[in-house]
Amino acid sequence: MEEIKCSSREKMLVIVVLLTVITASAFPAIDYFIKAHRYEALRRALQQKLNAICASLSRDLAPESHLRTEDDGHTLIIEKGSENTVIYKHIRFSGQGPSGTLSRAVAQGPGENRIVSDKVSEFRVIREGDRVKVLIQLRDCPGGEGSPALILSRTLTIRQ
Amino acid sequence: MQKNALHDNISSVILIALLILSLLLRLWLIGLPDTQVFDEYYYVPLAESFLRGQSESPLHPPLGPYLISLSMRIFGTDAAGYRVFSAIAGTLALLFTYTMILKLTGKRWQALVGTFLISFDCLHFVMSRLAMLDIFLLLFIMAAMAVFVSDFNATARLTVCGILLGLAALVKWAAIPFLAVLTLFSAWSEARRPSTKSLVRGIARALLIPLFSSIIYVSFYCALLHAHSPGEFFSAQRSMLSYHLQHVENREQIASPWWSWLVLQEPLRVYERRFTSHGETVASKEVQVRGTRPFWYMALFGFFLVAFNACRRRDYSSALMVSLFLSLLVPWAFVKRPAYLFYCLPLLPFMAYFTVSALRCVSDDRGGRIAIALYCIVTAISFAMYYPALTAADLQPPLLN
Repeated sequence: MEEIKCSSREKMLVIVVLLTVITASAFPAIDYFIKAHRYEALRRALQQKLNAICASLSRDLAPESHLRTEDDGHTLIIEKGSENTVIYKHIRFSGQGPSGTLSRAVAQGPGENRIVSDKVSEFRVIREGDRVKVLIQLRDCPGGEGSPALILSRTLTIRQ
Repeated sequence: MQKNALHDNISSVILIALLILSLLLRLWLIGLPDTQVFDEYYYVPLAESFLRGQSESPLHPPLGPYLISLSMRIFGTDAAGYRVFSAIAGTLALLFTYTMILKLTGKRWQALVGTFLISFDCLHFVMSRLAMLDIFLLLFIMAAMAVFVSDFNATARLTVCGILLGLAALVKWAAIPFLAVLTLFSAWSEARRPSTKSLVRGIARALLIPLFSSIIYVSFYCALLHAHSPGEFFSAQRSMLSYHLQHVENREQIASPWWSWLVLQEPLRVYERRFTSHGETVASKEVQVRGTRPFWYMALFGFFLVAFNACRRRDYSSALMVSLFLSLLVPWAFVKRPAYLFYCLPLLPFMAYFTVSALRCVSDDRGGRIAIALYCIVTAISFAMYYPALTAADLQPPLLN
């Protein structure tokens, strides 16, 4: 096989192009992996919050619980306890404001009004026959206003 | 001598490892997305018609859908089943690419780097995971090239080459200009012989390529589609020709002109599922057809370098590769129906050759070899970066825009 020798000018040209390609490709890759790492950390944190909300709901939905849903589609009322002592827990989606304002899930009950999460983008209660579906979505906007959000969601199905 | 044998063994081990890795990467979660994607909507039903014994293939010759139907017969009729043959074809095409570059350059490291670049190319990866035709076209073209540059005797070589290009044309007509250029080059290389007798014999040998291609094309076409008369055969060919010259699809928005493919403009999204919240896209699953930038940009530069060698130094291999590359690209300028980025899939092995031809210039000194290693690493990282957008994994939009 006859090999063509490269001239010194060709060698120089190749090395310039090669280094340009390496540099131009490396920077977007580094930027991407930094962003991806940040998103993964955020996703894990949000997943933990979502798990906490779901665990809290599951506790409230113990067998002796009674469920009611309000017509706004965003409120799940859990009546828990004996006939004499009824504890109400409302978990409702509220506060959808302008872009950048985060929504809240608020657990309400006698003497209690705590924020379950300030990163809930959607909390919907859907009645399907004798079942209630609770859709929870969590989101965050790490890149600031205008940046698309990271979203996690989970649907719980509860027999009424 | 022993040192050379050791180098050969190491190269073989690296090649086998690369091929196994490529196959596993392509097979991993190949059933996702679990719905038909892009032109799979068209080819998978055609493949099912072959399974039912009601063969038809009105827009392209029938070998592609037939191979998909074989995949379904062996691996099942679900999404993974109709895509497995594509992954196997893509991996075999890598092996033939290695053979071709090795024969043309005589250097194992160049063949390995070329194969590595294609195995981590996003376009090759995606098309090896979809039940579409282009990967089979690439397979047969590369098999023909590997045979064409091999050391077998000329008659056997050109006959097998003709058979393989006949199969390529049975997948897509895009192989026909390639076949014509390869025949011309074969005749040219034979015509360099001194005596008139050997010249005539050489040109007659070159004609083995179109002869055997035609025999394979006609016989397989008639056998696969049960065409029993010349009238049926020619009518089907006229129908396909009118599709290529006149048919206008309603997909202009995602089509792209042939000259734009190599400069890597917008990727083509062949599968897209968006998740929205309050009207805003918050996440998506996508399968994007796109190139791996470091590979494609270097290939574009390498093309001009090799073309320069072909013109100025009258180098046969350079002229052959540039001409074959153009034979797969330029005909799309004359096709009136919309064309798509993935039509340039068969160009990849030639682009790998152009790239390693350029890299060869800096391979003599240590600094150059480090730069080449760094370049390969950056190419692999670039592929890894786009991996979620090639496999319909969960994707956060800002990451890859």
